[in-house]
Amino acid sequence: MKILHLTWEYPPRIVGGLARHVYYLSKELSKLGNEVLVITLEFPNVVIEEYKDNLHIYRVKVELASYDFLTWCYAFNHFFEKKIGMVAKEVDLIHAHDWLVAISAISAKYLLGKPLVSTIHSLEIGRVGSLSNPLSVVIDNIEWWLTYESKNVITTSEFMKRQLIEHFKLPGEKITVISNGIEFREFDYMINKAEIRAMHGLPIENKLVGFIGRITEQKGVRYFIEAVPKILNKYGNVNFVVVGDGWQIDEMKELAKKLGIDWAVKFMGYLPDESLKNILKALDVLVIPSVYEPFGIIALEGMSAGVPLVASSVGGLDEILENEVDGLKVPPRNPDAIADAVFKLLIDESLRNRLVENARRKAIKFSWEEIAKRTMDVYEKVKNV
Amino acid sequence: MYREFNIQEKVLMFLNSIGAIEPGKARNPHELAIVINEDVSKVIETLENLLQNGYVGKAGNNYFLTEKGIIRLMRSFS
Repeated sequence: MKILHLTWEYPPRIVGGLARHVYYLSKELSKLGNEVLVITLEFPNVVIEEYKDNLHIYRVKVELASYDFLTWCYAFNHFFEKKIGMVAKEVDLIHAHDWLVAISAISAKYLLGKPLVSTIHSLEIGRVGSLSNPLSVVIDNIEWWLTYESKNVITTSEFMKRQLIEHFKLPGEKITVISNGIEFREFDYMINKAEIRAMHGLPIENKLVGFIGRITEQKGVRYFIEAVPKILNKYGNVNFVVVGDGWQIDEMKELAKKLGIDWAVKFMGYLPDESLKNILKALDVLVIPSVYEPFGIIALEGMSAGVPLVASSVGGLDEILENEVDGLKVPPRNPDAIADAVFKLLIDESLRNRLVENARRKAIKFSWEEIAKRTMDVYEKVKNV
Repeated sequence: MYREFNIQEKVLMFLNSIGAIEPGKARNPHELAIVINEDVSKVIETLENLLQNGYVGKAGNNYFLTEKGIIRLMRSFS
């Protein structure tokens, strides 16, 4: 089968989990014997065309200036359409990822006369919390339009499926849940924790508790920061790291200062993949305090890396983890519960070991190979309707 | 949770919208100030702050979005 993927992010343009999702999925689909074309956006200092093992990557240059973010989206979709006309006329199926590529994906569906499948990785209503401004209303509308025009809509969790049914009134039979995956082997290696910590200027002898992700309200980092003084009151020898970047970073640094715990929390900013994996593996506890999480790929990364997790019982996280079996779940927006769970893990080595062992056994099942096969089933189904 | 854009976001968003993502396409702060309807001194202060943090680069007196700046901006929408 010849498959066209449309995505605004693809490595090294890694905005969130979507880039990795399309990267691994397209790779596995090509391994299954398909010819896979990925049309994505340009990124500074990266080649505009790549071809390897049946996988073609086309990075599109946006050659028109725009007035604002939304008109820029329409503009880049125009250049996607142009690229589709140039290289993707013979595809059997179009697969769109999220609202940003909806316009070109729907145009391609009609112009090429081929079925459209979309994956909804998250929804505006969840990312923003409400549709209380014009831009969010427009984005929400485009998201609905994409799901309406798609023959099948893939989501990464049952939670997202429910949200699509409730918010867009989509018929359940049109939605397929296929989880995100993990390249387990990429996290399955030994590190010298002391060496990694020293390299980043972190104390070697103390326990290390961390948050990794976007510094946004959605990821709930403020609840992690608010839990820090509570953890320090119970367990003295512990340090904290916040790894990632985002609009809330200055606000969170201020919060740490206001709480008088800035000496114990290191904001490490954005780290490249390899450093990120090493820091993750150097943690004693990973906290995932999200308030909205369609899937929560960071949980699979922590599980594969052998780090015990404390995670909010929201969205996909609630489905991935079994409380007290492969992680500790806490209610969202609850610094007290985070502090209690972290303390529990810090003082109980046998609990840590048990959770880590179970989590690793679970994570290994989330293979991209399996996800690609399930995605192929969706493709076959829509092709034959 | 977001969509109330502050001046940093407005600056990054405009640089992205007009394609200023490489030194050759860097834009002048005066032009930016007019388009985003902010005081030019405030825009320059914002740009210098973004420059220090690696979100924009400078070519002469003009500014462009870096890889880090692109990722930071896009994270508001995905």
